[in-house]
Amino acid sequence: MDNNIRILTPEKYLQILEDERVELEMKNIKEEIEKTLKKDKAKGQRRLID
Amino acid sequence: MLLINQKNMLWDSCICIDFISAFMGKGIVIPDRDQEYFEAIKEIWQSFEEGRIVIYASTLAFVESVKIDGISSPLQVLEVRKFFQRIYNNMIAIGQEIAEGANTVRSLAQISLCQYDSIHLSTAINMNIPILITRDDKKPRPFLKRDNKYKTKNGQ
Repeated sequence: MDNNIRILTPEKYLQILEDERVELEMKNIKEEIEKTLKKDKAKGQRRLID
Repeated sequence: MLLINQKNMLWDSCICIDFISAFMGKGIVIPDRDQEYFEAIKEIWQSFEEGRIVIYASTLAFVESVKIDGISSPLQVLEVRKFFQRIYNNMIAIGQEIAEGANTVRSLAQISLCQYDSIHLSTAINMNIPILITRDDKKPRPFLKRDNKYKTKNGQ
């Protein structure tokens, strides 16, 4: 038998979804920042070379 | 474990009954202390209506829901039928496997598990439905008795 079943109240279920949504958003923001930083760094290096 | 990708859930009888009591037909006046709970059920139902999740229920819930406040009026029977018609394709009959599972779950449970709850749990297990939505037993909501505390919207 699958014992991974989660028994949740409606409030708890929505709270978990909300937490996951926030976590996902934070992850996306972090990734965006990292991308921008990388780009900026590359730009800066090009400028130094020029 | 991420739940966000798990779109299937099973509602046990009390959630079905509360939803029918509050949002179908006449509806009841929801006390302040239960607002959050009912908003949550409503939000989950909206997700189902929008096709983002699938709600399943045991045929047992259909049987349990029919007597919402002790004596079923024809209108109540109709409300219950209307609700279950919406999830008709997602109703799961209690077959041999589910009964066997319920028997096992009851015998193994460390806590006292009533026969009805064991059937809902076994249904979810047998059908690989990852989430079972139920009430928190620590906060009983005696919604089904329409006593002085829980009047219908038109005061009945």
